[in-house]
Amino acid sequence: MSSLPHWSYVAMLAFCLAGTLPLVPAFRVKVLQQPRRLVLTILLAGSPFLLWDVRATDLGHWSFDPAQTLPWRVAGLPLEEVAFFVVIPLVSVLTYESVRVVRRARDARRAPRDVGGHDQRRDRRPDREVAR
Amino acid sequence: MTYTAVAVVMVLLAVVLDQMLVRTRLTATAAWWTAYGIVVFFQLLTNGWLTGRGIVRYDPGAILGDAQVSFIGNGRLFYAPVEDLAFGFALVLTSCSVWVWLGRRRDADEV
Repeated sequence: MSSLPHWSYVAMLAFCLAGTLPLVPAFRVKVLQQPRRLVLTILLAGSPFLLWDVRATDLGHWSFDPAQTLPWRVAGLPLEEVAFFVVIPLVSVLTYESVRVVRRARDARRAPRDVGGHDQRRDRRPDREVAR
Repeated sequence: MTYTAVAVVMVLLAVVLDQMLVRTRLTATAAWWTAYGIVVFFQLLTNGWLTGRGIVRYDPGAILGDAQVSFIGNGRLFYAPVEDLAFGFALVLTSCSVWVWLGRRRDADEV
């Protein structure tokens, strides 16, 4: 198990985390600071897919190469496959929140007066009324 | 049910969750589609690693393609069965939808 090929699936998960965790300091996304919300999201969103995965693996829809995964199995799945359903919801949320930060910053640059607030309605609403 | 059939059902359930059940309606926002576009690009790379190297192998009877692991074609894209795109779409949408929904619930509790 110490041989390099056994870490092939782990390498993919590490790549996903290495690519997205830097988004936290880069865009100051507040995801890891909300551990309860994050854990609940992973449990609620990941579980149905994990159950599907256990069933599909059981039915033989797909299988995992023992030579390229670590030896531990949970309900017939490599531990990495279980971790997949933690990592992918996490990277999805981090990416989504980062996009929102970038878009908010861009919108604020385009319409700085909106941020001030008091004439927000006057600035925005009439355009929409006219458009209708 | 084959992987193909289950994948289609999961996509529909994810959209129903987003649009009707928790009403986060992320599939109507440019922000979510932008995020999904970024994720799907990296999905093709990372999933290509998993499937191209045969870390994950598929029963030809459960997917549109056959036993041949093609780079593109034969029901595959970047080595992965096209069904994986549906799987990924459903998982990413469900994750973001639940996240936003929980955030709204939390905000509502604070008010």
